[in-house]
Amino acid sequence: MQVSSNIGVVLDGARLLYSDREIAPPDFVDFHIALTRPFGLRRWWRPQVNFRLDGHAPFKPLPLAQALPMFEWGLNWCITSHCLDYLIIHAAVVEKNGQALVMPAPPGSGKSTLCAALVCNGWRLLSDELALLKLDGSGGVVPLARPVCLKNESVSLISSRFPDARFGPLCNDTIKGDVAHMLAPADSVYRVGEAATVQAVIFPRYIKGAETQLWLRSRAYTLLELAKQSFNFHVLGEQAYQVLRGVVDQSQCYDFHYSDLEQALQLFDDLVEEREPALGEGDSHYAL
Amino acid sequence: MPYKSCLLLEVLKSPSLCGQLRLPEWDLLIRQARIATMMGRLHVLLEQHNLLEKVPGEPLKHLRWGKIMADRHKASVVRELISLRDSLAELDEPVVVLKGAAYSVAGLQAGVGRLFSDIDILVPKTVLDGAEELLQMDGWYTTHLDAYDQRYYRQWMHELPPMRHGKRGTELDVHHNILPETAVVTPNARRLFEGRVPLPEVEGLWRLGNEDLVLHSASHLFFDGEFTSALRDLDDINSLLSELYLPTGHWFDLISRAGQLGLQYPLYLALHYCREFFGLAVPDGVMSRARSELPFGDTRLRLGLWIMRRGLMPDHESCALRGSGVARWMLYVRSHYLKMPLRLLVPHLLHKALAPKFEHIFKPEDSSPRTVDEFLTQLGRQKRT
Amino acid sequence: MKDVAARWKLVDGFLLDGWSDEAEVVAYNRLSGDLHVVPPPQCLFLKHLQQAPLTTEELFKKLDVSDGEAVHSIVSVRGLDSRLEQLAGLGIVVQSRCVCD
Repeated sequence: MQVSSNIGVVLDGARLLYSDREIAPPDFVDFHIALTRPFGLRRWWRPQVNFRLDGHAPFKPLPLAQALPMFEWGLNWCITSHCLDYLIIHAAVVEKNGQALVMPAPPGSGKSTLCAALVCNGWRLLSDELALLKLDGSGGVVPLARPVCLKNESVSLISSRFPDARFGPLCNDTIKGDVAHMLAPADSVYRVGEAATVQAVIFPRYIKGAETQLWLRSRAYTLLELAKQSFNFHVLGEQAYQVLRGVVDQSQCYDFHYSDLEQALQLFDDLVEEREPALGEGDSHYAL
Repeated sequence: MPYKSCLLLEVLKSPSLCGQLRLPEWDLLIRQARIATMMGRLHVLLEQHNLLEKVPGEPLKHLRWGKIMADRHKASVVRELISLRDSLAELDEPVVVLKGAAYSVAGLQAGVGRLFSDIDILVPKTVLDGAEELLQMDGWYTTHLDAYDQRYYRQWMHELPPMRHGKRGTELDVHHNILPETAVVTPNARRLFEGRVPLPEVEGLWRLGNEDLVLHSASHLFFDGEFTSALRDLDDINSLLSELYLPTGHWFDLISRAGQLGLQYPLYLALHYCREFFGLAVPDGVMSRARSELPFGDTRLRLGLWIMRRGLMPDHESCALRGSGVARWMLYVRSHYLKMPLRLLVPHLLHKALAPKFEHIFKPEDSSPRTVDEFLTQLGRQKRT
Repeated sequence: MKDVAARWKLVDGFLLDGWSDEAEVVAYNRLSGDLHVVPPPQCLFLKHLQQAPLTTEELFKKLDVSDGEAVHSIVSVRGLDSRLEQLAGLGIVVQSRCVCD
């Protein structure tokens, strides 16, 4: 990946967020991206930023204050719209004791907050946004170990609970509040070449005041939801279906509701430490 | 720099060059192929020349992704055509598949590894309304709801306003001719239907005859388009000519058909550039005969060639020649001027130039993503289409 | 004697997958990429239609002898027909006239 920009915050931010990364040799770069401020009126009046891949802008410009988040989203876009070596699902992936948990969730479900808390609590970060499932039938998931994007009060929640967590600059998002990126832990970045095997698919949902509860979830509906949250299920065809079928076969599938982060962390540890987690009675309501 | 202008073009011309490329050159080639939407095509070309094993791992990955995407497009096109055939069976009139989808389903080289942004079909003008009705019953809807656009298409263009399938998201252009009726030249559509050839892969559908296939491709590129994927389009023509005319040598059939349809100029340009860019062995006698069919002098031809050459290069900074920006703009205006007389053109371009600005005042802010959530929702929408 | 009856069949390309401890099945079309979860009792119809194309009446008779609580909600051929229409709307089954001995 090669980034060029005439915006200081993007270059500094990228350097900070990816400070534990090796610098790739510049001979061949997968994606040449640029984040630039347009010239003319828009340079001064409500300044904006453009994301370009090889000179072409796939998105409309954003307000300048969101340059760094745009850089991160742009990277996601490069991966999801080009890479066909993996079945890509919109989900967080964390791993402990060799067991990877895939957490697909619609925006607003508290997935990123939970993911950030887990990786600050001894779990390895594979990805906050994109699960890259191997196509070879092994049920493996490949890490990206990129920063975790947190919004609003989640930023202060995580930084006060885990003072060692390192953050990039806070960006004011004009509509929904603030966005900041938590750096991937150095160990996760170091182990970025190490795939893991999916053991569970969990659909987390933060509900204010809810009890911490885990329910078994239908495999059929889990498969359907994973396909819906996928970026390239249709492009990969039957191979993609067989990957999901394999993942769902080998995994426990759960719905998970929480409001208390400490209880959630405890329950996730129980899951991988062979302590029987307390299961909720009956079926949860599928958000379909 | 060993390659002065466009590396992609050099490789399309002599694929064996790939054996000598170093990584930084691969880097450039992959970028140019992506812009030109020819990644899958490049993969196929290298495969046919047994050169894939010489490609280093990093660029090979991008080529492979391009090929997977192209294979998927091919499979979807066949399914879409079958469903179109069934939808339009009641018309009891020939349905001719045009452009990329036709090359692909006709088993022509030009279709291998190619991507399609939409499907184009040709039906007789007399059944255009019936076709639209039948398609609407099967889930196709018109995408240009703006009253001005509707009128523009129905009154002046050679096609219905573009349609999209409600469930599958596929885009469809239903034509009744290969150039608009208001254009400087309008081929006689009846003649196009007369020369049609059945498509082997989808029984009941047709493609244009060999001559018309080339002439449509050429007139689309040089008269109709805005040169957005011009090099890819020229590569199509080169591929068609190599497969259909090089072995038989029936070049004069092509020239006389161009004369019947009034498409001598696009044919000349196609032959000229396939010779220049791809080294296609068009005999000198054919070139001078094609030139002699043109009704204008050398100065005008030279200007035309200067502009077109710039338009044909991939729109990537590494391929830009002196004057590329001006040339692209002239091509844009020209594509409209060729489609409609000036009394229509000026109001049309004014409408196109002004309408978006005024709309902006009345409509809420653009739909650009403001948050991660919105961004992902937009991605979701993209991936479904 | 040959009769021409409208028989239901699975749309080409569909494969059915299920798990022994789950009532619903996944229907995936390997040609179109369409994916559906089919709950009972509709998934039982599909399993029968997978064996052979059937008219609504033939399928109704088969359901009579097969077990499963969900089937009890199907009390008439007409009721069955409307459920099949729903599946047809999703593009999972299609009705076609085939000549059978």
